Amino acid sequence: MTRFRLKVIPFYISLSLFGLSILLVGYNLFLPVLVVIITAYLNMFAALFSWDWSKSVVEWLLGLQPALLVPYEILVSWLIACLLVCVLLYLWLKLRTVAIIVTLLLTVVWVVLVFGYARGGVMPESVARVLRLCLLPLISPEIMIAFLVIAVPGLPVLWLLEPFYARAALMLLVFPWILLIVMGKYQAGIAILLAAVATYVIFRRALLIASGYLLPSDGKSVRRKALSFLRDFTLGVNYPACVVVSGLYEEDRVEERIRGNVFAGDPRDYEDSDISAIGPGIIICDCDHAVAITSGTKFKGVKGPGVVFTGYAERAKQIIDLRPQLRTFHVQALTKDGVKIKTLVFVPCKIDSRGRQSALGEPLPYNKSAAFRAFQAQPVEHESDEAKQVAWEEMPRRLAIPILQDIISKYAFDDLYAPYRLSGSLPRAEIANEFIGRLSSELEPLGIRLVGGGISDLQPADPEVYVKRAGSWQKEWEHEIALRQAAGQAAWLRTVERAQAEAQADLILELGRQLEELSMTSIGFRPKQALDLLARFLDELMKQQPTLREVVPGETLQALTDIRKAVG
Amino acid sequence: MPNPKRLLAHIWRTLRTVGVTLFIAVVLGCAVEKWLSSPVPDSEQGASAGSVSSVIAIAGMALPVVGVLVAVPVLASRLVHKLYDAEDLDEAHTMLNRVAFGQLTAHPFIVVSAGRISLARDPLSVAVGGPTTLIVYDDSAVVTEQYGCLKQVLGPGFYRLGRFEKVWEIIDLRPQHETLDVFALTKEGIPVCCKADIWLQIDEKPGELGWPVHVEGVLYPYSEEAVFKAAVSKWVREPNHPEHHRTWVGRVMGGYAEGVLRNILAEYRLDWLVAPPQPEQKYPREEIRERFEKEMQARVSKVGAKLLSVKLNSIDVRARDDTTTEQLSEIVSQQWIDGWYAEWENRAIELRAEKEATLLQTDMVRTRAQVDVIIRIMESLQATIASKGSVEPYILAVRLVESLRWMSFNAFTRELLPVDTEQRLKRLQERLESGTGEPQEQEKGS
Repeated sequence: MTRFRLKVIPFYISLSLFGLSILLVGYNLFLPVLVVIITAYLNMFAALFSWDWSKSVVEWLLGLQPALLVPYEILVSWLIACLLVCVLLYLWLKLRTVAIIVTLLLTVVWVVLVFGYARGGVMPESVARVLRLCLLPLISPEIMIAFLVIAVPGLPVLWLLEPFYARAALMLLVFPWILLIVMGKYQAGIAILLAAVATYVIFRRALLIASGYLLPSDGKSVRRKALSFLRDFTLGVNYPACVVVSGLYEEDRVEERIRGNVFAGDPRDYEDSDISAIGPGIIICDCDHAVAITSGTKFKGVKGPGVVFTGYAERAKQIIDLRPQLRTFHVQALTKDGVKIKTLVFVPCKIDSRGRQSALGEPLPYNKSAAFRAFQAQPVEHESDEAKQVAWEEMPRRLAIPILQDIISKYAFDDLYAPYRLSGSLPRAEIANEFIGRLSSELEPLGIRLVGGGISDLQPADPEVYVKRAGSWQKEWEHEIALRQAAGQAAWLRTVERAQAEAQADLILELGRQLEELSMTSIGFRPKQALDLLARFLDELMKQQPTLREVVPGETLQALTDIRKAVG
Repeated sequence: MPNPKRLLAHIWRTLRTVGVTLFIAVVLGCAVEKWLSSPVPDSEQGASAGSVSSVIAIAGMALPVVGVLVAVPVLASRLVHKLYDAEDLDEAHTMLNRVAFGQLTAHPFIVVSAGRISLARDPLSVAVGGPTTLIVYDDSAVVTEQYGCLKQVLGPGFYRLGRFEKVWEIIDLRPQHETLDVFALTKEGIPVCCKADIWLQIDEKPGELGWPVHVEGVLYPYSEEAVFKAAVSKWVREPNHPEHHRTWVGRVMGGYAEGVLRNILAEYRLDWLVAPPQPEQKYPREEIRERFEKEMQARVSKVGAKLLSVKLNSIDVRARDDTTTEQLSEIVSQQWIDGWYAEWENRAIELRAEKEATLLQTDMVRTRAQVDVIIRIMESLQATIASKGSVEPYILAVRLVESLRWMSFNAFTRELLPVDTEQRLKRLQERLESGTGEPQEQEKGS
């Protein structure tokens, strides 16, 4: 189901028709009926109550409708005129052929009306005599009327073609008009004069007012320029009118919406006519674009954002995007020790704005001289057989690569990571800071400012390096594991040794204690007693720990036996 | 149903320009007609016929003005049609009428939701601007431009955009989330990849400029300054780049987050990413996450955003190409397994040592230690026997005590013996030597 949408022209047509019908019904039906009813009641009550004033009231009421005739006619005419405006506008916008026919019909109607005013009246004899004296043929008033009727639409057209001619024509028309009046056709003369003046004045004024709504800009000067362009456009002698759009590539950013000739202001370039452009060309930019204007032989500067007016031979050379432009690219470089590395670099830049920030009520800020420098500095790159100009936003890339390569060439490969550095900033951060600093200083004279930037990881170009690095890391681990294992073994050995030492200490202590006890108890501590104690101690020990006997070597047991024997 | 107020306003504006002009023309025409035309006979039929002819004459006098009032908008519409690429003259005139006299109804309208223009039946109102009705849903905010300047910040609501005012930038007020794969190099240059989970949103805190803040009665609180900052922080990338426009979200995710996390990870060795280098230190992933969050908080405010949360998922060894990743993974994971196994091995050894230490009370090692003592004592005695050529008890006893003394000097044993052990053994030895005297003296004594 399509939704009903209220459109302007149909709405006003409906409103006009409604108003007309109200007026017609009201004046021709409602008012008379009302008057009749009121009059009847008044007469009736007057008869009943002897109202003297009722007669005057009735007379007044009866005279009401005729009295309202003129306002009624004005209002009806006005509504008809409004209706005609709406209908004609609708036809011209939608059905041009019908519009032309209707317009012609209406023109005929008007001409007939004007000629109707020329009825009656005879040329005075004196006027005829003067005409004969001036060797002018007896011009008939109808011809004069016809001539002046043409002047009514002719004046605005002449004004469009050449304002000076229109003013001159207006002056010149005074004579035929005077002549017409003198001829006795003053009604027609007045009608034509009024029509001509009204048409001319309203046309100029209306066009000026309408021009103020054509362009996205404020201000009186813009209005006049827009009017001039409208005039040129109507006559087909305009400069180009372009609109800047958000295209991906430079060539897509400007759309020439109204084709024109950049040399339109010089009539020598026109073979067939003497008409030249009196208005400017137009370029419309959003708040985030500016445009570099050139006349071909001369650079006119960077202008905008907003509405930019161009002059003779001027055109948009380049569109400058005022937003930060981010470019990312890979850079390969060689370190001091010959290892090739690569990294991703990102450089956001924009036209220098001398520190001004974006704010409401203003376009995106930029400095015009910086924009000029950036534009001027755009180089022509020669790649293979092609020479192509590089846009300003690509220039940081061109400058960044050698700078970064130079910085990295001063570092050894391992220094790029500083795996054993305990404090201080990362090498990558140092490299990035130096890179940004140097690039900024190189871009500043070109009117370009970096708004950030940095580098990604410094990766070896050959991924095999990673594998080797991992291998080194692995070696460290293996070393660590070996150390841990050794530590573990050492711990175990220490434990075992401790246990052994404990056992030995116990034995020594026990034997020593027993010997000492023996020495304390006997007067004269005899060696034989000591040896006997030893033998008994060892026998006792081996009894308590049968495994001891198995572990002790045979020679040792034999030695013990011998000693026991020797001791007796 | 059209808004009566808007209708009346439009009618009023139209009347005071076009209507008044026509009215003056009609009045003048009427004056001319009454002045110049012949009087109509006074009969009923004649009166009405006279009235009709009068009306026709008056209206006819105004025809040139009617022509002008048609010609001007037609000429202007032709220009608008070409300049703004309108579909046809009618659309161009509709736009021109709207610019001059305002909107007749709420049409055209633009609906902004979910961070984009979701509905706009009239493309001219989007490309060229108003007057138009703008409806901003509760999940978006808009920055408009007019006459080549940034105009205003509009949050959720209904608005009427002025002449040639159009939507310049749309900001999504909803929380934004992305999981990033951030590739970095560790301190020793081994590539790793960390998944970062980031949530952020337009900030609602008042800024330095003191612009209005909308917190009450809105679904997603915001501050106009933050919205403006986000809008002007868009970067333009290469024409052939898939992300041709890097918005505030992209700048945080792709710019700040990657850079900050990469820098942090570069300060850590690979092993520190798994476990802290020192036992008392914080767990590395939490430490990295906290640092990451802190540094990001400082940066996201530049684009008018606030950080809602940051999480770090796994940190894997990963290069940008699969082959290298495979090789590295193999080396690293194998090594970590070996390391883990070595750790277990060590523990096993320690455990074994602990067990053996308790078992050593009755174990073979203790036995061996004792055997060792016995052997040394015996060897010492045997050596004495062998050197002297005879078994002399005195000498053997002294050698016995001497052996005990020498064994007590052992570093490990010494630690476990009482401090005076050596002294006591020495006294014992002296006593043996003094208590018995020389062997001949002993035999003589007995």
